[in-house]
Amino acid sequence: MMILIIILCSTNAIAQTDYYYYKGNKIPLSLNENKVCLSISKDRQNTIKRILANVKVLKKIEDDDFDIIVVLQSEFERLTTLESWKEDTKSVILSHCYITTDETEVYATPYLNIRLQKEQDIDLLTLYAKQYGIKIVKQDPLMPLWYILAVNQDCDMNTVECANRIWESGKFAASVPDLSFDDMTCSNDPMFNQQWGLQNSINTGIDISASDAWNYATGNHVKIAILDTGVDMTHIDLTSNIGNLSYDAETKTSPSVVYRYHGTKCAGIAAAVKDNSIHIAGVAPDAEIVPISVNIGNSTNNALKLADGITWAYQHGVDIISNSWHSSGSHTAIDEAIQNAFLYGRQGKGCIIVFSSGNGSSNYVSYPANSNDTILAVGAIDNTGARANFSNYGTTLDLVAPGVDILSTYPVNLTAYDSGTSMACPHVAGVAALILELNPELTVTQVNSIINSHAKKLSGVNFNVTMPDGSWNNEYGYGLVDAYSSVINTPSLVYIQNDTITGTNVISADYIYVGNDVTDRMEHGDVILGQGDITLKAGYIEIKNSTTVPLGTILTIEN
Amino acid sequence: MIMSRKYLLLLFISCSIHAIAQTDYYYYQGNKISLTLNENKVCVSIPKDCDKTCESIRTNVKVLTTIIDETFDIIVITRSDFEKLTTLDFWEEGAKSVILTSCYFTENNEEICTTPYIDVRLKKEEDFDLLTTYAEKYGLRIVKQDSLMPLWYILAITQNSEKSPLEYANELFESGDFAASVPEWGELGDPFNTVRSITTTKTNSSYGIYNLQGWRLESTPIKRIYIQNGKKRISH
Repeated sequence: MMILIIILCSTNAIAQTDYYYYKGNKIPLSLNENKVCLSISKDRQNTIKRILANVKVLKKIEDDDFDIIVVLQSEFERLTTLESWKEDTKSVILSHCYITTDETEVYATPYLNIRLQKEQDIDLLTLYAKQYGIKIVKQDPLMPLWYILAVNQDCDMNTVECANRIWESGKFAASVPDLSFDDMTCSNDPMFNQQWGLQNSINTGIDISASDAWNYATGNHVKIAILDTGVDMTHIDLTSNIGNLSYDAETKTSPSVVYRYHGTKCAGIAAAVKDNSIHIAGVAPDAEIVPISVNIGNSTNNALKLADGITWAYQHGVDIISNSWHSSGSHTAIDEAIQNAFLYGRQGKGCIIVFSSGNGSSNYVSYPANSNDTILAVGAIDNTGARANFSNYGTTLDLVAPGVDILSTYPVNLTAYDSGTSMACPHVAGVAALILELNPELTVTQVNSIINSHAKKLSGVNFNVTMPDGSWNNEYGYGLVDAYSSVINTPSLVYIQNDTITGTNVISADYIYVGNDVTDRMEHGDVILGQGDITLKAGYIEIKNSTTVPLGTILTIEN
Repeated sequence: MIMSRKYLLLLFISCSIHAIAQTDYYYYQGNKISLTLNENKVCVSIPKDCDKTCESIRTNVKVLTTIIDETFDIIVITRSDFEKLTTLDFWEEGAKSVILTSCYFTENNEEICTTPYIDVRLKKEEDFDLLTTYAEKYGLRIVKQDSLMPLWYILAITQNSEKSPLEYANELFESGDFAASVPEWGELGDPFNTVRSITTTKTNSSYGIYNLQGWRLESTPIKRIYIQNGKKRISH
């Protein structure tokens, strides 16, 4: 009984903090008195089992360290009356659910995000963390001034209060509680909740984790060619992502034309505009769509026209070529165009070329998806994570993506559902665009490797074959493409310009570019001789004390 | 006499088809790829300037597939329809302009056909003269050079050609004088990897909303003028 009183008092105390700071302003939060958020450390499996057995989970928030669930306040109160609660309460962090000013439901997790004013302020952060009884969880690898902290049992404040107190100290650039959004809130597009491939509200986790990935990249400055039957360039959910580049391989002229609907479907999956309150969101919603049209299957000399489409794409600065088609007869011109795109595309770094695996339910991947190991060959799964019964598989399959009942754009401002590996392919093309936004210097094989090695291993599938990019299965390849995991594991791009370096610096990086452009790239183990001892080691740069790089005065490192 | 000439023509075509069937492979990356003759279908290419022949053929057969081309009307029909054609009066004259090619099943049991075209890749730019020589020898026409992949040329068989495009493609490759030589494939299956028919969806808010050009909109546009229930409205 005493414990219950303490918890309720604590809950009451939490409720007093009904705002958070954004750009220095207080943003009101209204307490949602009907729900509470419980975070249970994953190493307390018995507690988790007991709680889950006694409440109905309204929402589960994915996390590495905690099982985070949202339950009804009434169910929580019932939980506290159980005998086991005396023990379980020690392992549970309680936080509130709120309604924001735009009536969005948000859930406070045990986390808060803090941005240092400068790198050296980490000591200050450590001090505050100790004072408030919060734990520094990790530094954000892509935005290294940001840190994630977590409250624990020793903390007498909740995350919202903690975040506010730290902001009010004036010592940090930002301090925000981690407010988990409801599924729908990561896009205001009205049909987003029907795009299970991006975020699956029925079978949690059976999606490409697009909304998490969008916190890091949205495909800005990346060009995705849709080599297909043409794209409706005036479609209201595509048009602002379509630039000046397009090509019709039938007539060898620009712009592209529309022969059939198929290309418009594929374009929307890869890069439909997000947050425009229209239709859907694409995987890379800020990428540029480059339509390349061929009257596929309906005109003569198709193979050469398709080869021309690939050739035109790499010659015109396209980064990614998405191909949701196959050819029954193999053709050397297609092989040659693909090989040239790998060799010469993206200034020699190679275009990323994605193909659908084919729809024959066969134990082989269709041509040309199977014609070159550097192609990403993509099969399809349904929204339960099972291989679509039509999806081709086999030794040259790289991975799978959502491909059953996929909603996308359709000509004349419409939308439509379709199924097929055609639909799976542009999902992966979109993920490649997210990666290239973060690091445009990656080669095609590096991008492929990031995508393959960070695919989700679907439960119940035996990934028992060891391949270069990890464990692999004949029907699922390396698994389900994972946008979030791919982007957070994309090595950052670091520039050191002509600068003077003092002090010892250790920077996390896989590549280093020296000079005013990116022409001089260091690989692991390289040392810049005559410019001081700058050594790129596996995973970090070592810069020795008082090293001087000629011509510069300031060290600039962009992460 | 007329019947006899018809019979001879039919026999010639049958023999020709039979001869084509002997070449049951093509070259890909230097390897022979097997093809199985599809005995139920044939591909008929009629020059576009033979309007009457084209019309006569189309009115007497069921067209299974049409392949769009600048020079020929290319259709795929059943062999039984084709055989029926050869018994008709117009055929005696019409056959002179028609190019007949075969349909195949690939090793993956996918249906393709050959058209009058062959794609040849030179080993080097200077080999164009060599290509010209072969074209003359085989009665092939050099149609054009590919603008983006300039070592590739498109050739077409003519009435003077004695063999099928598949056979010529193989002979050109086997000569060792060219980097590649492939008959042009026509797809008879679905080249797209989409399996389900389309369901066009509409949101509730979109019913009866049109832009000023009259296109029906899926949803209310942002910051645009649109028409709903016959009235011009502005969304903000």
